[in-house]
Amino acid sequence: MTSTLLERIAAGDPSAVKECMDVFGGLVWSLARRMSSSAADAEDATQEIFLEIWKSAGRYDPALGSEAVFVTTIARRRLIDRMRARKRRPRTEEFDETAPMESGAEVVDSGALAVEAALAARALEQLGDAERQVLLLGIVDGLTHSEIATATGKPLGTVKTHMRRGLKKVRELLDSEPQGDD
Amino acid sequence: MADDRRRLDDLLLMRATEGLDRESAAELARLLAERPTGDARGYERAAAAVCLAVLGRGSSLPRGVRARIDANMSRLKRDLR
Repeated sequence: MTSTLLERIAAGDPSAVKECMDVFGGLVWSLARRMSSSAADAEDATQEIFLEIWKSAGRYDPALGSEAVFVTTIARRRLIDRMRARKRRPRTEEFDETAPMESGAEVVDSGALAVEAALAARALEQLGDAERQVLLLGIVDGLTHSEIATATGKPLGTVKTHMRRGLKKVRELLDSEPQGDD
Repeated sequence: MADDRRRLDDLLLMRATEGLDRESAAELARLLAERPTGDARGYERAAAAVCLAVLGRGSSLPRGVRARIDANMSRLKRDLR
């Protein structure tokens, strides 16, 4: 049976480490840019995330989801921790490479990266505009519920309700499909 | 009981979206110990899937950042062991 990329990292395969950066470097960097206060902070975060991925690779279980979801989960945890540690200081500079897409503007074709992405895209299409906006501001841009309430003018309780409904919808679709790498 | 379930779901959602402070993280650990749930990471997986749907493979990792990580590779490998 062919080993997954993360299984190869856990086994100490040096080529797998480089391959991991080739495959997931752009994704991790894009997340770090969105959830960091500066380019320097994003660089530090990216390095920390890859270190964490390499340390955690042995815990990857293909039965629980794709490698892309595993990597993204680790990246988000680390970025959220860093945001909390710096008291969620907002960005102090704009990144040259900031993706032009605004939250909710479009969903990319990432089916080749993870089957879960296609399911999440389907779930996003099924959400109302308000729910989708809240979900993307919170999940992709890293805003807190309070920050979303301020940004959208919606009551905090409404923001929390939209967030819960949106994520539950994604969970339901993920749970309805077999998990694992495609 | 229903209140505990609701609180547990609230904490799992918060962990997946904006993180938890130490007190809330300890409360979540206690509730999970008392009331094991089938999929405590479900919201985090869903959040990751949303990121993948929106960002795809993302933009290229800048050469400088990649070079920095490569330069630290040997130290990282030692950390892995």
